[in-house]
Amino acid sequence: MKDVILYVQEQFKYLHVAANLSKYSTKSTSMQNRLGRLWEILDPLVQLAINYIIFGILMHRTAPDGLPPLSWMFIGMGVYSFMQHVITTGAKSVMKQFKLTAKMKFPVSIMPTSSMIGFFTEFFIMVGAGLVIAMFSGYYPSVYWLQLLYYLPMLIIFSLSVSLLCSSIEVVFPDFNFFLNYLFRFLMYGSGVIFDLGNFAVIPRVLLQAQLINPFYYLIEGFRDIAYGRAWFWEHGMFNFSFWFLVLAVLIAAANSHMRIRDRISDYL
Amino acid sequence: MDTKKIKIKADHLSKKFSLLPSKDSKNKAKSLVDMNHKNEKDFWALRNISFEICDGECVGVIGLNGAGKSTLSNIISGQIAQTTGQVEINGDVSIIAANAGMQNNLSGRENIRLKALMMGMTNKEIKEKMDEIIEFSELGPFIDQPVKTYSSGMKAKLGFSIMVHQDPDIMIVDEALSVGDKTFVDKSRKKMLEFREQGKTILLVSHDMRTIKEWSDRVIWLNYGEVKAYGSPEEVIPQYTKFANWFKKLPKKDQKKYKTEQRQVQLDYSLEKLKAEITKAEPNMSRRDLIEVADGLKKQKDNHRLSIVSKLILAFCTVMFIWLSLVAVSNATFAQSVEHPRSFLKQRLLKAKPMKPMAGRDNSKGEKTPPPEEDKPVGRKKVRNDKKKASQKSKKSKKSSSSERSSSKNVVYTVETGDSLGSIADSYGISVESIEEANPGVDFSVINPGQRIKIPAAQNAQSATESETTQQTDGVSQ
Repeated sequence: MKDVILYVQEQFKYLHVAANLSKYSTKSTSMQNRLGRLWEILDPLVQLAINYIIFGILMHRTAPDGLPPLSWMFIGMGVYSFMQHVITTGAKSVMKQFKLTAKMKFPVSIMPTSSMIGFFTEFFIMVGAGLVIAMFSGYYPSVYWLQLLYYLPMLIIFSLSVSLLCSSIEVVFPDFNFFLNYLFRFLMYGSGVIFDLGNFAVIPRVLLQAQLINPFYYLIEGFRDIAYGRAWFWEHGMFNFSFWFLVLAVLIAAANSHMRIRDRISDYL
Repeated sequence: MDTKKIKIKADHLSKKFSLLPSKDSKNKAKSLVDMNHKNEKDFWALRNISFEICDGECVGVIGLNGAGKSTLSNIISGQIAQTTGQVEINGDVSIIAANAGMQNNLSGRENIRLKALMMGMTNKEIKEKMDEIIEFSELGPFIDQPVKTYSSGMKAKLGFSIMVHQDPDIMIVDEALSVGDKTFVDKSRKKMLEFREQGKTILLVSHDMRTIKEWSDRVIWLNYGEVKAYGSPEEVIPQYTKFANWFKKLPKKDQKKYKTEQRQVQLDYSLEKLKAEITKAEPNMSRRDLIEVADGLKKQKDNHRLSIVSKLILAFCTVMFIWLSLVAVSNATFAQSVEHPRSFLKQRLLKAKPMKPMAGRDNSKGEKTPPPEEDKPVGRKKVRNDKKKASQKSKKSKKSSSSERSSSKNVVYTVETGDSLGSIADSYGISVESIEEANPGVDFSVINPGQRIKIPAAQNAQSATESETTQQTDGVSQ
């Protein structure tokens, strides 16, 4: 618990350093490309277009409950790729910083936060586009949009704590990187990002009814609830609790192992 | 000059490393969760070190390889935490080692920017200082070349230039100047003297006795984790040179023996010994002070053992999450599972939820915000709406909306977007199996919009409810 508090304090104290670092890294990566920062916008859009052509047009995979498929997919992809990027790059950046053992004036724990700040652009573009497109299909802003105040912090807390945990695991078990990639590839299809699992009769109802236990699905559906005004988060009942329990457990484990490794880094490398 | 402020104060500082028999994943994982006490051997890199350094002082740190010089400088710079004791540092610390923290793929200019950012400078400050740093580093046109092409002297120059422009209060120079050429060393020396006059503290780690003698006000001689001597360079350096010469002259075998002996002492050291040393050093300590010392030693700074409360919370969260997952894949609510845990685990697991809404998402919201009408055949509208009500949001909790079902003849249903086999079956109040029976030769693993499915008509309202009740009781799912 002490470590969690320390971790959270560090995040707020060094937020400006994290922002500066993130600005630098996006600048230095975009300078290598001709189109520069335009890629931040183009990349997600291109990916989305590919998925839409394959799953939307060729395979007629569409959104459930007659929801407009394009915005449905936009929101799913936006939320999911945000989590994916924050977790994988966050874990990697902590690891890199550990190995570099560069002398610096900020705690390593802000590295995931720093990379997260960079991914907000992509996130807002995709989810924003999803919300705007949803308006064309008749889903206008409603009181449900207030839930952004709940789901956005939840998304941030979840992504950061998982990325911190993954970084610690990677120190102990370097091959974990690969598993993480496979896991995300699988979860992309398993979390209802581009198509609804209800389409498949093979999947037993038992699993479909338990989908909300999957934190990725919980967050993605949460953002869709916002867009289509379907439900308030407390209507998910026990799934809220399962999500909170999971996040708290991950956060405690992650903060503790991170602090341990950080203070005794030479014992682990 | 007597109003000197203490810049660095170390008090009974010691640092323990754990030596694992081999650094594989298993051992690392074990020590991460505190399960590796048997395998771990403690190695005390620093033992009971106390010193004070004031501002405007330049202190040299000398010692053989492996004496703990780098560990000390890392602790002071805040890189790693000490095991016991207190370190008090007033001011910004900046450390420079030969090529530490350089990114080989980036150019010199980018490295300057990156390091400056890491030190917490803003972009504006960096822009202002960039030219000055490049000027000082004497790299000229090479500044835009990647650092991997630099020679070690160039790297050291760049590192030193970056550091001196960070305006730190405390500088730690770790063997950085030994690689520079004469002119650069002279220039750096001038800069360092400037710093000293400004009242900045410099910690110089070096093997080069000449540099130490020239610059240092005081010298710390570390020998296998202990302070062997601490005083003015005039006193300490001759002692050290004598020791080094004596050591050098020893036959190889004796050298080795001496080293292993010293290492063994570092391995055998323990907290108890540290305590004894402290009490011996100050024999007239009061009882309360003693207790304080003991308490201070118990609190190891680099040991983040989970407290009992955290462990309990962690365990509770994990258990609750697993339990809720089980509830989610059962046909019981959370309350039911707690009330009858045995029957829950034995009978109700892995069974789909009954048709009426349960603990999960409820369906009442569906009517509140009807999705906009899409263009669809008028004839199916009623069924469609009904179905929509039933299958809103997810497939798991369906309303049994089979009461007003037309028990007419075979109906052909065209699959619409967002349908699933389960939702179609529900909206007609029949089971999935009966649909599959009515459509022989159709692969139902995937259904597509526009696909036409025969809906068996034999089911009437009553049999529909019957099939539902059977589903509820014996949990037949699709």
